[in-house]
Amino acid sequence: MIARIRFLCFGLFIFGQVYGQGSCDCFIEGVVRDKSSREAIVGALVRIPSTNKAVLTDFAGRYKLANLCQGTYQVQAEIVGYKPVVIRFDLVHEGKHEFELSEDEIHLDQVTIFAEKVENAVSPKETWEGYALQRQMGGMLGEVIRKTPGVTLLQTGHSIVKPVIHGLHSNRVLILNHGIRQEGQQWGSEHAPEIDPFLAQRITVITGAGGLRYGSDALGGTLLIEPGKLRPGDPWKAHVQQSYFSNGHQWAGGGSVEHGWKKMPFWQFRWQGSGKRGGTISTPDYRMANTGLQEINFSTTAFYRKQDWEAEFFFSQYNAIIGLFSGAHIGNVTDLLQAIQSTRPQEIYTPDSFSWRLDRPQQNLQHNLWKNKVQWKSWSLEVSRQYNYRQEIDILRGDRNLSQTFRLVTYLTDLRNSRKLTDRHTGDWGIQSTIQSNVSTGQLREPLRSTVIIPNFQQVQGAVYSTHSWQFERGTLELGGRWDVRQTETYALNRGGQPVSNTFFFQNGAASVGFNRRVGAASQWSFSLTRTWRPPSINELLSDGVHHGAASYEVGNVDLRPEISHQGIFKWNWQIGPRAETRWTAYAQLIDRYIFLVPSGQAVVGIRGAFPAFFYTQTPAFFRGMDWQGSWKWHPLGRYSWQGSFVLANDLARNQPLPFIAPPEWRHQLAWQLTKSGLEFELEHHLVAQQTRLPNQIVVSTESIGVPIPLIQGDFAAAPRGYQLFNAGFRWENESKPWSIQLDVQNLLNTRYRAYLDRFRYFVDAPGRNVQLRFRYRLGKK
Amino acid sequence: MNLQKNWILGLAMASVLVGCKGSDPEPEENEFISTVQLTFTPANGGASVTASWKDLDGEGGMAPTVTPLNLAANTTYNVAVKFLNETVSPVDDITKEIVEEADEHLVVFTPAPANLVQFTITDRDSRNLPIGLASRAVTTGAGTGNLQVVLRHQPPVNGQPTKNGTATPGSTDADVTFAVSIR
Repeated sequence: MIARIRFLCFGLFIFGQVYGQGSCDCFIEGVVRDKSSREAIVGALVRIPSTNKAVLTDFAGRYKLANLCQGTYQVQAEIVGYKPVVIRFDLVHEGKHEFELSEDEIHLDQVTIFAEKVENAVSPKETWEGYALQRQMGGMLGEVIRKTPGVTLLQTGHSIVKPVIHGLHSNRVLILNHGIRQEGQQWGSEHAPEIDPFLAQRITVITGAGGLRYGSDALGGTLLIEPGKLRPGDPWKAHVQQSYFSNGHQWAGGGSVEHGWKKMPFWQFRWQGSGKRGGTISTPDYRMANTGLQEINFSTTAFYRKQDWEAEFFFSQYNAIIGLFSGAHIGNVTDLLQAIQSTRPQEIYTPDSFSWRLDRPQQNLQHNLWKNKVQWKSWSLEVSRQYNYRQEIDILRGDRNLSQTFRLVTYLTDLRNSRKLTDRHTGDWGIQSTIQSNVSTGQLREPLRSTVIIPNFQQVQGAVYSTHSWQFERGTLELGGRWDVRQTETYALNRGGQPVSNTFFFQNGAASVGFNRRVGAASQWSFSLTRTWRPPSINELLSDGVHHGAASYEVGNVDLRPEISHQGIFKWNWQIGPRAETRWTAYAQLIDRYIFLVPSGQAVVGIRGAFPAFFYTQTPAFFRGMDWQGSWKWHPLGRYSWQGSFVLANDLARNQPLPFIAPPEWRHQLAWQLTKSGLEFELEHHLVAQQTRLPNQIVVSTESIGVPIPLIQGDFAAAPRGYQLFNAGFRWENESKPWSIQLDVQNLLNTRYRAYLDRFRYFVDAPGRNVQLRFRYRLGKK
Repeated sequence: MNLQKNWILGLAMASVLVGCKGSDPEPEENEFISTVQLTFTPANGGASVTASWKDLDGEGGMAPTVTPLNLAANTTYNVAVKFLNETVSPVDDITKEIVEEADEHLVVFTPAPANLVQFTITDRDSRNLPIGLASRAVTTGAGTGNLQVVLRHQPPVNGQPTKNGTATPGSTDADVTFAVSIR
């Protein structure tokens, strides 16, 4: 860090005159301070390395190096926990200098890791940051982390992407945005998380239930979206990034500025913004009408730190309009089966020319997050408010304007105490409360429509938790426990227009134990066991209606009971010599009363025709799988890396696989460094198998509610064939340069394929070749 | 420096004051077609025959009620189709709006067996394509079967009209089947 030099030399130094020349009674004095808090540092060592002169600062941070001869000296101030500062003095008689020491980065990171350890030291995680994160930017949040082993994507076309961790998604994946649990309509498979990945400096995927600190329902895993740490007193810095994707002419750009003012020495601010605009997406053979999108997002952060106090005020807004392919929003099962049978969509849905138009059907979204956090010593209090607006505008039906609009407001409060109890033992405990209300129609307690997918509701939740970790010479032991209580009241109109109210009350506990151990210098293994639970969500309890766009009639079940999960995860990391490393994760999860949507093989008949009926039901389920990754630098300039995963999920009651589980996947890359300055080429091969593990029996057999409809193993169409894709790219990344640039081609060979977990696979192929250009520039200090 | 600082702080504050989308709720109503009504009037005079297909509580719930269609053999009828929302009071006649957006709608008649009744659509929209709210039906010999009546909604895609006189474009707003008996 640059230390400002206020150099006062009494005497006639400037005119070259010498005062008291030849004598050795000059001195250098001053004060040593902490740069961000301005506090004096007691006991700092101020010395002149070339001599043996050294003094310690006194209780006021003052020092004086006396009996110096005239001359040029390097004077150094240092103390453990801070970066040393060296100043050059041309000493004539007196020198005065105020040293400003910045905390050592390693010191600070220890604090960060301390906080992380309580969460997830024994839960396997993959971290995307720095260049690795930048290389994935420009698309939706799910796409940024898609290459994490164990992660697959649940898609509704190209623009709606949700992460699936170890076979589980939506309500079973917890997303923490800036430390706040993201609350939106995440129950929907076509509801992508409303988060702008540009505001993250680090995205971490944690598989398994984690440390239970943020919730008990993360049966699949947790996604941590974290910003860069702000430090008052740091010089300003900024960055800009731009990307262009040729498929859809998708432009995305973002930037941020971090700045502080001398007049407010304990504060640091950040402003960040981003935008995205895309038009018609193409498959290898045709364009898909109405597949554009646009986004505009921004966030501001104010951070305060002084002595024992720390505070953060953060606000972010996400706005998006996402077009849904017109050829996928069909009416009834007749239309659906017709669309499935044809190999390509009708002419009108495959326009000849590109367009930026955003028509119906579309999703219109906004998410506001306001976070306030205050920390004093070992205590922290966090209060946040989220507003999630989701409007799903359908195509015109029955000549009317049909749309579903949800407004979800969530207040979260978290009081936590976290501290070192003994040398080896750190522990924390906390109390959390959540108040949430959803309005789908009219006012909270006065609904106007009966045709909403989920009713209005108000939910109050409280939780207490505690986690502890013990550090040993070769490993860590962690324990965590949590108890949640949740009450929900719903307000709806039944089919006859009569108001109907329901109350649901759930409470249960979660506990986890985990340990990790280093073996030798090069390997580490960890094992964790967790018992946790998830209450049924509102759509699972109370759905009753046609889910447009899915051409299905979904029925909830008010008698559903919470899911109980027992999970074990084993992980092994091995650094094989200096050039190779591998990581392997194996997991098994038994979910009693696993809730899922099953086809009944029957269709209900309404005015719009027949819609296949699906029912929410529960069953004991068993999920297990493995993730494996590694890399090998086989040449000083060449590297080979790989990631693979598979997950098997079974319905234990019926002894058959569960539907809609991702098939096994394998990726490997060959990278070659072309120049010393950081230009690298990479070729990637991606293989996805066909999902052959499919259910055979009809799960729910009701008395005839309508007409039987043909289903292929519980699905409207057979699972698509396996496929392989090639991606290639160049990138130029160099720490010493302020810019980085990247040129990639995804789906290099313009392969035609359909992904099993993409709802649009019934209608269209996946997107074709996509040439992507990414550029990033940083300003100010690194 | 002061000006810059004020501008930046102003921007910071403005971002907090940006309004929430959708804070003013749009007006709502329970809107759907609950009833398809067919009225067959003999071209040479005589009493008209009506059949209706009604589902007042939407998909699921109670089963729809369908009245049978009883026609005379060897007769030419003028047919009128009406779409109603009978869940509200007074009853909402949606047919009017279909007429207003005739360029985006098509009624398709599919008898089974195919020669049970012959339909010819007589009304036209502004592009001279059939609509189907008014048509002529000719019966021949006696028999029984079904008549499927489908209202297709064919709005423009990408700014281009999609209606072409066939049932292919668009999606289904109503798809109902009547039992027919001809004596």
